[in-house]
Amino acid sequence: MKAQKAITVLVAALMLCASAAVFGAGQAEPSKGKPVTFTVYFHFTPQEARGIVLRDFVKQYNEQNVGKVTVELSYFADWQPMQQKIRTMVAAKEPPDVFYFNYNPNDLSLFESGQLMDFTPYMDAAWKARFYQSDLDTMSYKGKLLAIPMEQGPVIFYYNKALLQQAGVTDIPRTWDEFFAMADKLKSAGVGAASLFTADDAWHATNLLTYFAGEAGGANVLGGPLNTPAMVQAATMLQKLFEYAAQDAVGGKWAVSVQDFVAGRTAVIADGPWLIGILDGQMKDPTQAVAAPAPRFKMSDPSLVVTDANTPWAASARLSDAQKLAVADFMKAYTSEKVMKNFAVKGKDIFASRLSLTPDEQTQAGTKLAANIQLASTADMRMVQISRILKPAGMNQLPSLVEQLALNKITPAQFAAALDQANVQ
Amino acid sequence: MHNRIPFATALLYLSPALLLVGAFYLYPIVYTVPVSLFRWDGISQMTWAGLGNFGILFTRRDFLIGLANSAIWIAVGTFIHTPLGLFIALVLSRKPAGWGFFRTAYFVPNVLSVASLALLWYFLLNPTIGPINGVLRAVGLPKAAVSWLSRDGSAIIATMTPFVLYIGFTMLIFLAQLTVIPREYFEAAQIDGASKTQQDLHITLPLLRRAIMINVLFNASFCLKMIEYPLIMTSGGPGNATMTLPLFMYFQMTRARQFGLTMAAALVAIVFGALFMGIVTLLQRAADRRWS
Repeated sequence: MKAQKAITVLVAALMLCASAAVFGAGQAEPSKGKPVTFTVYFHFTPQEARGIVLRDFVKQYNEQNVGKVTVELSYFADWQPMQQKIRTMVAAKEPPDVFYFNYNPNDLSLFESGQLMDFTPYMDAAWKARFYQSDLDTMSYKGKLLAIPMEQGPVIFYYNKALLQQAGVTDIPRTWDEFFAMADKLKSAGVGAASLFTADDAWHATNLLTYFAGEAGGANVLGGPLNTPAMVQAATMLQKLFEYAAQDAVGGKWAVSVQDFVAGRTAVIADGPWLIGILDGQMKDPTQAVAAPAPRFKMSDPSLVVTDANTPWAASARLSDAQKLAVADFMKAYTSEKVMKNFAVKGKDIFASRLSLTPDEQTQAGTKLAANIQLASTADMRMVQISRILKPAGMNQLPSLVEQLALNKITPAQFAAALDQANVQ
Repeated sequence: MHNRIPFATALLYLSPALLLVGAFYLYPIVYTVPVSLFRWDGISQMTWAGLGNFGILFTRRDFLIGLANSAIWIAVGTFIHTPLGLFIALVLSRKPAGWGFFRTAYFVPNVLSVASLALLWYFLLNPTIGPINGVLRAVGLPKAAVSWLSRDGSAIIATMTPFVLYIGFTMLIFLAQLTVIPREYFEAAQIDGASKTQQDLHITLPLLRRAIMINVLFNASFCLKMIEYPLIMTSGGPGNATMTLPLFMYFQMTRARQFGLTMAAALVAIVFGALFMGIVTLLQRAADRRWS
C-alpha cells in the first residue's frame, strides 16, 4: 500500500512538473520598467566588414534605446546550420525572434507555416518608400508582408591582375573564348584559372554553372525542366573549367576556394560583394583584385548578372505586441538610408533597399563595390543562382553531381538528367 | 532464499529511468515509424506516402553507397580497429620501456572531439597546403602527393584513417580486462612450457572474449553512427564515395528536407544495427559455450 501511495505521489508530481513546463512556455509580456528584448539570429562573421558594421549598429541602437529596447545578437558561424536551426524552431512553433533566411520561390514552407510576423501594420509610406515594390510583393504571402527584403547581392568575377600580367594576359576576358585562352596561359604558368569547390553548396562552381546556363538558355532557363540542351552545354563548360581549377577544388570548401584566390593559387573567383571585405583584409595587395562582369559567349549577347537569393529578415509571429513594435522600429532604423549607406561604404555590401551613393561615397566604397553596383543595375538580364532556386531535393543532389562532373564520372548529359530527376522528387 | 521485491516497489525505483528512456529514447524511435510513411518537409502538412519512401530509398544510389560504406566502417571497426587495440593492449600489458607514456599517448586523442580530429586530418591531407603532401614532395615523391580526399580509391581510406589510428578507448578496455586475469594461469602455463604466443592464444584471448565483444559492439555502434569524419573531411564525396547512412540522413533532413525519407533511412539503419548486434550476441554465446 505504501508503495502504491508513493507511486501516486510520484505520478502527481511528474504531472505537475509537466504542466508547469507546458504552461510556463508561453511568451511572457515584458513587465513594466524592463526594456523590451528580442534576439536576432545572424551569420555575419566578426571579421567581415558587414559583420563589424552590423555589430556597431546594434550597439548604437541599444545605447539610443537604453531602458526601452535591448537587441541581443545570436551569431552563427555557418549559414546552413543556422537555417536548419531556424526551420527546426519554426517546426516546433517557437521561431527565433528575428532571423535571416534565404527566400526560395520553390519552397514557401516558412511563409506557409503561419509562424512569421506580419509587418504590414508597421509598413508606413516612408518605410515602404525604402524598398522596391517588386521586392515587397515577393515577400508578401496571402496579403501579409512576412519578411523585410534585405540582400540580393550580384555574383561577379574578381580577377587577380598581377597573376594575369605574369601569365602574359593584358586584358580582362570579355568572352568565354578569351577566358579559356587566359586559362591556358595561367595553367602554363602553374596557376589555376578559377577558384572552385564542390563541398557544402559548391557555391563558386554553381555560380559559374548558373552563368553558363543563363547564357545558353536565357534568364528563365532554371524555371522549367533542367534536362535541356542549355543545361547540358552549361555542364560541359563547367566540366571544362574544372580542368583549370586548383588541386583542392574537388572536395574543397568555400574557405579553401577563397584562400586559393587570396594566396594567388587561382586568378579568378566568382562570388558576391561580401567577398570584398575579405579580399581587402587578407590579400597582400588588394588593389590587384579587380571586379568585372561575367564573360559572354559572344559580345553581341545580352549581359547577364546572376544574383544570390533574396535574403530577407523575418520575425516570429509569437512575439508580444510590444516586441513586434520594437522589432518594426529596429528594422526601420536598420533599413534607413543612413544605415544602408554605411553598410555599402564601410560594410562593402549591397542591400535590396533603395540606395544612391554620392560620388564621394562611391569612392569610399571602393572600386570593387562600385563595379558590383554598376553591374547589378545595368545588366540586361538577371537570374537567381541555381542552388538558391532549385527545390530542396535538387539542391541536396547538386554538389554531389557537380563533383561527379568534375571527376568525369558522369557526362554533362547525365548531369542534366540526374539534376532534373532529383529536382522533381 | 530470495526476497522478491514487490512489483510496485520495483516500478517505483525504475520509474525515473523508465520515464527518461521512454521520453528520449523509445518515443523518438517509435515516432520514426509513422513519419517514415509520410512526405514531410518538417514544417508543412504531412502527406501520406505509404511505403513509397522505402521504395525511393532503394533506388537512390547515394543511399545504397551509404549503406555499403556503413557496412565497411563496421567491418573496419571490427576487423582492424579492435584487433589493433587488442594488439597494443597486449604489448603494453607486458610493460615495455616507456609503456606509461605510450598508454597516455594512445589515449589522449580520445579526449578530443571527433569533429576537431576530422578538421585536423582535413588539413593534414589537404593536397595544396597539407603537411603530408609537403613531406612527400620534400622527400622527392611529388607524384605520391595526390588529392587524398578527392579520389575514389583514397577518400574512404583517408576518412577512416583517424578512426583506425585512435585506438585509445578500445585499448583501455582491453588493458582493464587484462589486469583481472589471474597470474596463476600464466605461471602454470609457463611451467608446462607454453610460449608467450601460446599463452596469449589459449589463455588471454579466451578470457578476453567478453571485452572483445564489448569493444566490437562499441566500435560497431560508433561506426554505424559515423558522420563527423566524412562530413567534415569530404562532405560525403567525391561523388558520394564516402557517404554513410547517418550522413545520408543528415543531408536528406537538412538539405533535401525530406523528413519522411530520412525516417525511412533511420529505420533501415536501426534494422541494420539490430541485425549486427544480434549476430555478435550469437557469436558471443557460441564462444561462451566453447570456452566455459
